[in-house]
Amino acid sequence: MEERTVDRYQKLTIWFHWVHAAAFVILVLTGAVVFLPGITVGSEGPGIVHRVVAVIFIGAPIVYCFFKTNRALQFIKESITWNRDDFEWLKAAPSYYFGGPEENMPPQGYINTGQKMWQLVILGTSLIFLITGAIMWFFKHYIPLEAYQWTLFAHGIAFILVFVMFLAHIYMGILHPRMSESLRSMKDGKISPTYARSHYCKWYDSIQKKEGRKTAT
Amino acid sequence: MSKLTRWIDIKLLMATIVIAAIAAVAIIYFSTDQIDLSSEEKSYIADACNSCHRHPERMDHNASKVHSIHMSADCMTCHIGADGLETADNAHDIIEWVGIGIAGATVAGLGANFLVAKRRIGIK
Ligand code: HEM
Repeated sequence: MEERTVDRYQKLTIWFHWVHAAAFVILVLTGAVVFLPGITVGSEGPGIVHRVVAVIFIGAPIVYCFFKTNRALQFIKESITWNRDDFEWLKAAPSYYFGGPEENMPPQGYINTGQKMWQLVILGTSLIFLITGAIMWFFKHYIPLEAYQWTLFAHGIAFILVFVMFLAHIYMGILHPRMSESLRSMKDGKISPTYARSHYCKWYDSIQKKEGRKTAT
Repeated sequence: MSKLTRWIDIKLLMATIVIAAIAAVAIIYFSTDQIDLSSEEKSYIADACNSCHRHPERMDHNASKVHSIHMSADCMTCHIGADGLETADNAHDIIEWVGIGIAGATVAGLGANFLVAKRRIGIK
């Protein structure tokens, strides 16, 4: 492995990521107990744990925003800013991820288009979970049963969407042969320059330019 | 500094504890009569059920084997006019199985991707 490294994720971001991820996994497990047919564990336990952890899942990003407001805004901005390269990426990605040639992939910024989609899904579904979850938690007795059921339905649809993306996210982070330094970057926050150049060329060039300017002054 | 103390930043630890504490307080405050019904509600339900079922002492709303989403069918046995609930009920049943199908297909797709990509690229 190369000696020189490029900083990718800060310590607080890494910490936040794993707290959020742990919360998500617990929500999936306790949600599954309620959602899936044929599973029953106790009576109230899963419901209580689901609610406690839901507060952590929504609360952690809010706390993160206080500590790292700029990074949080950048997260939203990079998720919603799409250009030609993103559409090119979508076309080239299937072949690339099945081991095809790297040359066809358009250059990417700080995150690639797949990661943008993941971030968009997180933002969108978190909002749905927040709204539908709050309705089911606090207004259960004040809304008609039918409205309650449709709220639960929306909660379930959001879950399916985020869960499918989550499976792809874990797979890309841990197993895919082309993402060899991904997990490492979420542990010590660093990647090698070669990995940065091949995966996030536009971002790597921009930090190289900044560093060049710093050395020049 | 040990590896552990370097990693566990005290500020972060505090923030995590504060969130967990807020979460716990929120649950206790808001959920007691939401997750567990108040005794009034329990006796009301027990009375209602008692009109058909003869064992009110066994009735525990939360331990009921009937998922709340399926209760409409139960409700309809007494409450005529609750039939609008059926559509939402069926919709929920459908997404349960659709969800299981989509998740299964995703796992299969990712597995296939792994096998092909590993063979073509090799593990670095
Ligand atoms: C427990 C399972 C998880 C694992 C193993 C995992 C792993 C990773 C890894 C390795 C990265 C670095 C990607 C890179 O830059 O190359 C990453 C990034 C990220 N993770 Fe996770 N993660 C998990 C759960 C989650 C959950 C539950 C969320 C959100 C709800 C999440 C949100 C993100 C985001 C937003 C990023 C940055 C953008 C991206 O790389 O997609 N992760 N994760």
